[in-house]
Parts: sequence; C-alpha cells; structure tokens
Amino acid sequence: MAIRVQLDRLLAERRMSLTELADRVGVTVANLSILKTGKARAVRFSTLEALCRELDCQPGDLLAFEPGPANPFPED
Amino acid sequence: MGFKPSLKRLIGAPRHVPLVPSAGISGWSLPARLLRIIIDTAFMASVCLTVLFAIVSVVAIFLPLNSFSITIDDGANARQMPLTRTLVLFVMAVVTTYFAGTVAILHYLRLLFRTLLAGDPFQPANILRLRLIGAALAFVTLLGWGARMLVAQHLAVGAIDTPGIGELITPAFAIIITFTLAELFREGARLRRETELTI
Repeated sequence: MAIRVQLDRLLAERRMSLTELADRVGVTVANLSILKTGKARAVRFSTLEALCRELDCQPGDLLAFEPGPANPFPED
Repeated sequence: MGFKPSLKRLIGAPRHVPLVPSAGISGWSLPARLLRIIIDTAFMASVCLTVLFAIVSVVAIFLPLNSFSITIDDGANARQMPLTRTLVLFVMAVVTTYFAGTVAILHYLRLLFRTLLAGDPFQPANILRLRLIGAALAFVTLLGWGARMLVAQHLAVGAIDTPGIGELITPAFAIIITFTLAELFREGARLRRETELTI
C-alpha cells in the first residue's frame, strides 16, 4: 500500500507489545494487527489520536508514504 | 478482496434463524414476518407442485390417451381434437420445469431473506443469489411464453390464444429490478467491507 503504518518500529522503540497497545488504545488486537499489516482501508481520527497519545508520537511518525500501487485490494 | 462465494454456501440449506428477532436487527418488522411466511409457504407449495407434476409426467408416458380429446371452441363453432402424447408430454415437461424454476427462485430468496433476518444481508453470496434469481426469472418467463406460443401455433392450433409480446413487459421489469438489486447489494457489500477495515 502507498501509505505504510509504522507501528512495528514504534512498538519496538517503546518496547511495547501489540496486546498492551491494544489494551491502552481500546482497540482489539485483531484490528490493530490489520492496521499493522497494512490491510486497513482507513483509520479513524479517534484511533489515530489514541495511538499518538499512547505511543507519544505525531501522526507523521506513525504513517509513511511509499510510492507504489495505491490499493492492493481489488474491488468486489 | 475478490468475491468467491463457495458453492456449498450458495446452494446449502438455509441457515437456522431463530424464531425470535436476532441481535442483528432491532426486531423483525411486520412486513418481514409476513414476507417470511409467504416465501416459506410458496416454497413448500412449489416443491409439492413440482413433485406432483413430475409424477404426472411420468404417468403420462404410459397412460393410454385414445379416449381423451380436447375441445377447441373459437366462438362460432367447436371442434374436437385428439389429445396426442406429444402435446401432453410437452405441456407436462414445461409445467414441471416451470415449477422447478420457481423452486430455485424461492430457495435463493429464502437464503437471501435469512441473511436479512440475521441482520447481515450485504454478503457477497447474496449478489450471486440475486443474479441467479434474475436469470431463473428470465428462464421461467421465456419458457412459459415460448411454450404457449408453440402450443398455440403448432401443437394445438386454436386451443389457446397466441401470447403477445406485451405480456413480457412486466416480467422484464421484474428481471431488470432483480439485476439492479444485485448491483446495489454489490455496492453494499463493498461498503460493508470498507467499514470492517476501518480501524
């Protein structure tokens, strides 16, 4: 995906597990995993806000743009 | 993701739906309850009629038809015409196929309706179900119309009126609406997936 979620790097830097982050943010581990693996279609501002708050970062630290195919999911 | 409904899911028995409103929707509405009763009743009636006509079709193969005839009354005068085995078997085969098509339509409608009652109608499988309903509607409509045309013009001239092309207009609308609904469901399923993948 052109937009990459750098959750792995941020979690490693903060030595935090995905489960712990999920507990703090109030999102299920499954959903956070979807976000981490780049399968998510969209991120709510409320989720982004919670992630930035818990990871003590800016949205720009969490998201990165990489040139490439925009949407790996063909339409149904 | 690509849409690949499994055949088992498509033609399998309807999922069990409890007789109490599901958590998916806030109680079944009166039209929903009535529709469910109508669809289930019509399905059972269609199955019974299909089996009945299939049995009659088989019996008609061995039934002596010498003593049977049909009366053709064109208003001015009436005449007798022998009942041929070809005519009987053709009509019985058409009627049986017609009701079998109706069974298929109602079966897919039941499966579709159960997903609605379960509160999850925008499934990819329902798109194919609606398309199959549309195709089956087109098939039974053309079958009935074509068979009547064949009987009226070749097999028993004068016995029944020749069907007009105008009779196909209303079924054509039903078929178009069904295919349109399938496209609406396709968009609904896509939007549902979008929502599912919004974190």
